[in-house]
Amino acid sequence: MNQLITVSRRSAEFKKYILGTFSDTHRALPMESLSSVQDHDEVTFQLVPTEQIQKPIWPVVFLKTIRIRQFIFVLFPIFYLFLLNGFLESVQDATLILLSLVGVLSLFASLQLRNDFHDHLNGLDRIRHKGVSSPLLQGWVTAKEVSQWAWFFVGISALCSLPLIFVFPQLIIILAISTGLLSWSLYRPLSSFKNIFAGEIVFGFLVGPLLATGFQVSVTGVFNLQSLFFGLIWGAAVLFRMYLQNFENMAALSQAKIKNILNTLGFDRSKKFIMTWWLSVLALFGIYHLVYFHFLVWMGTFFLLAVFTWKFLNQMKKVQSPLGSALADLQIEGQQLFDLLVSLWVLQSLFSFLAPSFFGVLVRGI
Amino acid sequence: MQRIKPDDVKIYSSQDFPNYLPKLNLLYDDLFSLGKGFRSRMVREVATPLGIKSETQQLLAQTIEFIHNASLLHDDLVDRSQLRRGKPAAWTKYTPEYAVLAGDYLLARVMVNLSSFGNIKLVHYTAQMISDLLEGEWLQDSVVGDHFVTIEQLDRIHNLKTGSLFKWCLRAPFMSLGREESTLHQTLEEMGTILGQLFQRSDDLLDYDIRNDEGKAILGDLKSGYLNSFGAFCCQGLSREQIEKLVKSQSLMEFKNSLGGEKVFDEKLKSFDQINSKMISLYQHHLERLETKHLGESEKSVLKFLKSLTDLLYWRRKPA
Repeated sequence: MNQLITVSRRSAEFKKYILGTFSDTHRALPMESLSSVQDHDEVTFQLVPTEQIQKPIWPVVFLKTIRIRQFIFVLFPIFYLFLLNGFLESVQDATLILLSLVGVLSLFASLQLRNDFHDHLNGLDRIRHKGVSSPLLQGWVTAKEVSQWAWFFVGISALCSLPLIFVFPQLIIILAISTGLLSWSLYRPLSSFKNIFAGEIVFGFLVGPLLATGFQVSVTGVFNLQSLFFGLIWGAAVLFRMYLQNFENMAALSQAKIKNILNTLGFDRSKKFIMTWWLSVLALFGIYHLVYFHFLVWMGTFFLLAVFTWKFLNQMKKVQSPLGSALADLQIEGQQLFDLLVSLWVLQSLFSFLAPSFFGVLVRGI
Repeated sequence: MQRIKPDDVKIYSSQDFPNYLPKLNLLYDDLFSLGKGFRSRMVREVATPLGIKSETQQLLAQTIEFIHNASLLHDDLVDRSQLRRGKPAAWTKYTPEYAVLAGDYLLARVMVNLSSFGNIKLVHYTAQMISDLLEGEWLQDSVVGDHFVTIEQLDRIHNLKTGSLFKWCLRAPFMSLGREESTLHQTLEEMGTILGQLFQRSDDLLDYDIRNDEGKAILGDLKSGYLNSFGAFCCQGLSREQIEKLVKSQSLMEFKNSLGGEKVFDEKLKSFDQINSKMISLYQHHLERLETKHLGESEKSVLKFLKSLTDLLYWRRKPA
């Protein structure tokens, strides 16, 4: 085993070790623990020579570090809002779209990086549970690099938003709310969504109604109630995924004294909470399609989702322990349900928004 | 592992428990006899070099044995185990009701005895340890019959159920002296966590006849529906169908064949040992820190015993 070193959090060296700046030739990887490491005054690191660290090519490192798979949370609403606005028909300027797109993606990348950075500093990523930030723990990147990237991306996002504010001054309200929420939750020392009770709601609010409304205004200059409604449902669906993840890690996070909604509710009540939450998403999804689309579209999407919801609820009833394999099965069912929601939405929107133009071309051709 | 001396076994006095209660002392006589008393010995091995008075040592040793044996009384009933240390389990011999009450009584005595010692932090820590132990029992019961449980999930259970007692054995003697430096207790906590895991993993290996000098029943855990840590380790990377087949094994040979043969089994064991050797290195690191940062010269004789623990608990090698 490589050399081990234990450093006090209060010592001057700690910052160097945890940020990864203590040496050019070695990486200090914090040891995982079953104890409640957040309370500990000392952290044990394994010093690994950098040449011993096997890391993939840099694009893979980069994509894994920014958690590219999570980008579905922002890419899908952007895609949907494009469709909702009839692609480029109602868009005032292509440059504005590009600025909005880069701004949103940069902000999201920054959010992910900042969250992982906090988890690393607090010791949350050392509590053995699923979903830990592997590039940091495996020594592919240092915490300092992650922090620098986070600030870089937040800078890009800010730069992109400035011209948009000049064009659409009303955008400043949404940006002010977003900035306020982010500053409160992530961009202050040693803070993370996980350290704040119900902090995950902030995340849902950001990727849901704020993103939808903000993007809508930044590309069209007009507030749209349908976008807001869509954003609310999307935010709730994203929170459903987060609640499922928190549920799977309930035992580990409870022992680490993390105060999130599920840990406060407890195991049995959390099951009911997640089921109720999803049923609410389903109901809102149904209402949204009933209000804005053809009855047949509503039938097709809502009922298919309802059938798979039944399957998910049955799996939830099988979960009898905060540990054990039924939780992993529930994750799969939940992910499938979420994917189905996205797929149905994509199909429905493609059909609803593109069919008139397609059939119009056909009619004109005839 | 060596059996402890009879005077160590009799860790309680019949005066501790009301004599007029039918069967109570008989039940305890059965329960405490034939026990290895390893935890109480561990407490004494730590307490003696620290210069702790013999009455306090007795109190600490009694506390850990009472808690451990209370958990066994309840555990046997929960698991419906017929035998304990080769004898009929208490619930089969004295009725389930008496087994539950006898376990509760032991825990109550712990609180009575410890509170009269007057160290409130020690009482608090002991109560916390009992809570952890019960959480571990509860969680373990919730995964019985689950053959797809992961080793990480089992580690979490074992840390509560087994590790909590080991941590107490290391920390309580220091606490009884009023030594409450947070870094000292964090070091001991990490050491206890590792010892608990090593002990449990080694105990789980006995089920597969690895270093099984005690002659423990082969595949006992698996046959009673419990996939232990080595079983879960072997199942890593296998499909559900393969695991289903593996857990139905009725003999060790069948298990090895389902896994892919003797060679695959040996490779799995080698990897398992390697992982645990890394844990032993981490334990030794903490031990060095204990020596350099927290122990006075006269106390350093405790290190010999602490050093020998990983050999004893994981490799099942008796100290020379």
